[in-house]
Amino acid sequence: MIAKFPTFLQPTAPMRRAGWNCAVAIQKTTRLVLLAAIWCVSGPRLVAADPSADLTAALRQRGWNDTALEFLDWAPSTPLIGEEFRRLVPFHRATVLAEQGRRSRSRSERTRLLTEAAQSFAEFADSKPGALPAIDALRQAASAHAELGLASLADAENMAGGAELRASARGELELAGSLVERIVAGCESELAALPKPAVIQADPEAKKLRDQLRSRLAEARYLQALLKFERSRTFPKGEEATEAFTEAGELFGDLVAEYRDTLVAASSRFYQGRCWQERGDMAKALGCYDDLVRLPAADPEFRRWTARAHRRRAECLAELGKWEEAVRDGEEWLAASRPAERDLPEWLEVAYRLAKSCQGLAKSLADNPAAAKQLDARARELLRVVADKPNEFQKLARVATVSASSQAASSPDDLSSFDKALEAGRAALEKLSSAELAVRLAKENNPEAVPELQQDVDSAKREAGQLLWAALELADADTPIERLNDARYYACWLSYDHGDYYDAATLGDFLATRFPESEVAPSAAKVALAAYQQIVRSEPPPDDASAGRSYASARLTAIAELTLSRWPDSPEAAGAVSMLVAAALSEGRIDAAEQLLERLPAGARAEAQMSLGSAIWEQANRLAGEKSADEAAIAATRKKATDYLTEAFAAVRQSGRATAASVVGALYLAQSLLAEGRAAGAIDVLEDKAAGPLALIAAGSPAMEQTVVVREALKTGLRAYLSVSPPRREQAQAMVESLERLEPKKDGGDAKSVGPVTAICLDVGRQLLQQLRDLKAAGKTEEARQTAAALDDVLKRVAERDDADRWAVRVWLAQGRLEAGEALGGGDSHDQLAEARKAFEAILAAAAKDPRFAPSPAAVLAVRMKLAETSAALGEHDKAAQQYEELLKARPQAVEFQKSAAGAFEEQGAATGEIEALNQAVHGAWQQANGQNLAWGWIRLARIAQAQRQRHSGKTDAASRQAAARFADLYFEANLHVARCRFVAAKLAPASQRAGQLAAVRKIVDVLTAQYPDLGGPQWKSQFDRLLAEVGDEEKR
Amino acid sequence: MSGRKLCYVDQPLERARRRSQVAEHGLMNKPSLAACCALTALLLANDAWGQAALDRVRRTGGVDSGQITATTPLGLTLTRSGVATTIAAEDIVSVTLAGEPAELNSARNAVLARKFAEAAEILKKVDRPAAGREELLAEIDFYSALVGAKLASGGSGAPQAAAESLRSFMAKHRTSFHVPQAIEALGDLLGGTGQYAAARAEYAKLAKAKSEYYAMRSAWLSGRAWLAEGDAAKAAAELDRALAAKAGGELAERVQLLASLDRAVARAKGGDAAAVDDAVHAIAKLIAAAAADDDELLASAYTALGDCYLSAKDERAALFAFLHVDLLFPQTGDLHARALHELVGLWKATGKDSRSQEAAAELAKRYPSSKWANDLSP
Repeated sequence: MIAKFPTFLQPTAPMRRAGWNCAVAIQKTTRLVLLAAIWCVSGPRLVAADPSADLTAALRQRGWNDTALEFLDWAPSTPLIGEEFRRLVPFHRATVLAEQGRRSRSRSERTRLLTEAAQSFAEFADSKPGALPAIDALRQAASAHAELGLASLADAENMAGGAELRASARGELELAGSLVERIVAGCESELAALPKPAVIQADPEAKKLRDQLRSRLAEARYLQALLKFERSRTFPKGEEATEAFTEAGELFGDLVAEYRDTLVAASSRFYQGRCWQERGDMAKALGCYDDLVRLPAADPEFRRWTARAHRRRAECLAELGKWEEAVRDGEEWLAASRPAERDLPEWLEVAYRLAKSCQGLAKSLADNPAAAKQLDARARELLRVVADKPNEFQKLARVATVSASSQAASSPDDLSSFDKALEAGRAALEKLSSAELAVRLAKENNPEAVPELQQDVDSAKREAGQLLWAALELADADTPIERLNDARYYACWLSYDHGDYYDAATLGDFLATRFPESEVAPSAAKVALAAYQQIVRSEPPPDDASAGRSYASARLTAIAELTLSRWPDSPEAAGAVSMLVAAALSEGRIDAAEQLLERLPAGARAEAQMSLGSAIWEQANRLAGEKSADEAAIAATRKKATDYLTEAFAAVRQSGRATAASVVGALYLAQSLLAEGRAAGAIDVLEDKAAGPLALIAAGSPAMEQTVVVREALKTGLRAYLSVSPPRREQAQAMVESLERLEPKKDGGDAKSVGPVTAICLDVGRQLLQQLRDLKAAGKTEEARQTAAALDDVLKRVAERDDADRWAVRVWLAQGRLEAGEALGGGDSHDQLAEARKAFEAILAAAAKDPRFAPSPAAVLAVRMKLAETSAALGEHDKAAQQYEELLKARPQAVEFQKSAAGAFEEQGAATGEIEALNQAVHGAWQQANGQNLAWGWIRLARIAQAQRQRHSGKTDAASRQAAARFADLYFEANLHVARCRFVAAKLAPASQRAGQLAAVRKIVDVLTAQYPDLGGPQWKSQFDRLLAEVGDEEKR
Repeated sequence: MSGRKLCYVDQPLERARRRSQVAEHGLMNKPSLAACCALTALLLANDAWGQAALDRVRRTGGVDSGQITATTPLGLTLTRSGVATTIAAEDIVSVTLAGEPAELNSARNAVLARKFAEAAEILKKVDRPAAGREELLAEIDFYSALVGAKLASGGSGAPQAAAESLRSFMAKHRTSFHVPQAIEALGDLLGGTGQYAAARAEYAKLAKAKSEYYAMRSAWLSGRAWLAEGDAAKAAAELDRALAAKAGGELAERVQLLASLDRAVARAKGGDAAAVDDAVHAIAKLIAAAAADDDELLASAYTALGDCYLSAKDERAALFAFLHVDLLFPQTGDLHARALHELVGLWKATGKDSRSQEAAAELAKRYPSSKWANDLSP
């Protein structure tokens, strides 16, 4: 269930109250027993009859623990409290902290508060407050540690690879155990110090103290054994676990012998059975359980233990395949139980096991279908009962009976009050939870049932939505505000889930801002943030860049700020920072984003750091895609991103808690390492067992639920395996195969469409190309060569694919060769360029042969231009000129062709020193019958650009503004090339004419500067400046 | 804190229980169910007859029955079997008259439960005879006037008309034992509308009675009026008079305890930080000495404490003081309403808006016609 939600929408406290957190409840009984055992002995013992104590308790009861703590900090400085209460203030303070921790929705906050509470209790016990208060404080401390341990253990059971969690659980349980040991020792020494029994008999106070100490000793010893039992469960199955269960079993055995015929003995016998059961010795376990079920239990508490024994007995019998005995035993026990007992969890759990036994027996009765059918019917009947009431197996039973329960649900017409509507809504949410779990299970085990089960999900969502909105309609002034807010929150979440982002944002915003102290407020803020984010994403970009931020954008920032200021330690705070970081980054405020990060506690920073690193990385990629890319700025931005990502990744590795966000960050980190040519490092990141995306895919981690993330991980893996030296071709092939499994072939694809895996390979090729350029720019020639080899591998692999004869694929392959050649430069480029030329020529030949091959005539022209560029790059200027002439004959007005032709002449002039080529670049070439040149040259291009720019300037529509900007760029670009051609010519000119020609170059720039002081903006100004600097150098020479 | 000092046992049922115990004792050997039922029915029938024939006076310390043979502003005379007993007015909680309309007792109970709007509705159903037994007419007129005054204090009704009703009651029933209550109610009504001098004038009338108790009570009430008006020094003088009185008895001691709380508030309001500190210490002593189940006194003490902290502008401390009243003594009527009223502002001042709204909602729900709720209504 939990995995169903996006990470920013984890179920909240009210949802948990409604049963949303019952995903896995295995061993819950044990935990409850342990906690109950601790709680029942350590609750109110130290509470004195004092108004201050009463107020503290009342504040705790109301959930106002923050105020209770303030009161306890304040009260000792006043004359208002009695000495007794003053002495107990540290105890009360610790109690409030523990309560606050238990109520906290945030796991980290709960851990922090319970740890602090445990420490405070222990300190109180150390302050020698008296024997019994010290013992009670130690119990509370033990309770806090045990809770933390059990929570970690539950988490470890719910997620794969929870070794660290198990170790953490063990640590906490051992701490609890050591505290209980102190209780035992304390009780024993106090008992030893008591007067002789004869004296005690005559002293009622001493007798009372002795009884209390004896009682606490027995309880502590029982707790000790229970903690040992729980500790045993923190080991994976094996020698260590067996040893630990043996030790726990022996402790329980001692208790059985010492406290014969008491509840302690009965429950200890039960746990002896559990220990045997965990060790796999079902026969011995059955022996223990049999002792319990044989007891003529009349006392309700004894009967509960008997019921627990029946349930465990059924488990052992099932393990041994003794279905008949399991069915008989379960039926007899249930038939003999009292009507009121049958709704109790222990009895329902027996019923669940009985249902499973019926199913097991039915399966074994293949030769008797009638009896099997009867047993199946009985199992269904039992499951319906189990699904109806709270117990450990309720969720599983609901999954089994979800269809039936959806039909039996009450309709919204039955509603007459807020309470009824809310309760019905909660029931529908529970049903939704079960239905979603059923879908997940069916996806793995019974895919055919998924569509039908999905209908149940949709129906439960609809129903829950109707009921909760009805509840909101029925609310009045008397409706308790917390319940009303619960209903609002559910409706808010469902609205978000349904895509009604405006409703979700409005409700969530209202709850977060109007009721910030409400338990649901942080979660509501989270939903509001997510909803506003969706709204902002769907908004069209503003026509005017200077336009203010939209309402949704402003509210998004406001709610994120609120989250950060009100709940800085909550899990939502990290999400809020991420959003503020994203907002800050989208506005180019990287510094602000980094400052925001500082506002998070170091321990909670990893996720936001990941987000910031990811956002900066994306920013760097955007920068790299801009025409006026400043390499130094890009490198600095990438380094910053990499630093953040590296630090955050280390934190995630350490915590072992990978999330969808951390996976994205890890992928960016791997990509950054690839961009630096550190493919081996990228592979280390990708394969890291705790946080590496590829390892998480292999482990089936919920963090890898999104297909898009899996696809990116495989792509990055493919790139890394190909880039590493030597390339790991087998693993690369495995990545391609995984991608093929991920993107199954679609039937009926047309002859021109490109398959998804080919598209992904081409994308990887693009990334490798970018990597190649980056490495060349960084002067890493050797790494660039390796990347070129990897790219070559990809191109060859694509060329072998079924869809490689598609136009788009062939063009891309040729283009890839061209760009790789251009990027490599020098001698390394020739082979790539030659391959490119060959490929472009083959495409043109195929297009000439089959006019339907090319998607359009324009596409053929584009290929011809690329062929011309390839020829030019190979130094085959005549061939290039020939292609350009062909192109211009076909499209004489095409500015792009004209620019390319002028550029080719310029390049030729620069490469060969042919002044004629430079003249053609400036003035044009190939005079036509009308006296005008077919190739315009840079001067005419500048003139045309200026005319078009003036034509569009002053108009306010977006298209005109874009055209004006485009032609402005062309104007300055063309002038720059004119000046540069003149500069090249000046360098080639005889020494006597050189100074004059260089002065002419300066004049071009000066005239332009006089007209346009900014020289068309930084992009062009920097190039003009560079040119002037070169002119200066040449003048000095 | 569960037990209340002012805990009344319903006399007829108590008697029935005692009698049935006696009867059962007599039938110990063979108590057949039919016999027990018949006996209980007989006893109840006797009791019903008794109830019809006798007036019953509920005192602070028990219930007496008989026939009211005389009333004065200082008390009444109850005669039974020829024996006359005088009961002081301050000791009377309520009186049930033989043969009175059933609705009158319902209205009276509603007043004791501070449900004034409900009492007003019930009183509308009471058929007031034009003439008849003076005590009955006085009861009906008193409760009608009192309920009107309380509702007017809470913003439901015209204070002027309510004051006139009280005055009319006192003019018509000069010898009623309710007169001191009527005077006090009139003073409270006037004080509630800011007419502190007029209020004190009413309270002063109490001092004219030949009763140490009422003289002391008059000084206490006048002190409170000065306190409400903001004159801490004059309040202190009046309260000191109340505290110096030698009235004696449980009721008088209680008034002096309450007066000592107000005295502490007066000290805090009139002085500096040291004075506030002194006041807080005085109240703390009183709290420490109070019986754990004396809700009313403890609630009054924490209210006084809240006032001291408010005068010192210590909002956090005031919040804690009023939280005591809200969370520990929610059955204290006006004191609880006052605490909720203060908490609305104090929670807000500490940034806890939703708790402030909760307090406001509870105030509006539980005490809709109180002046505290009225003070908050838009």
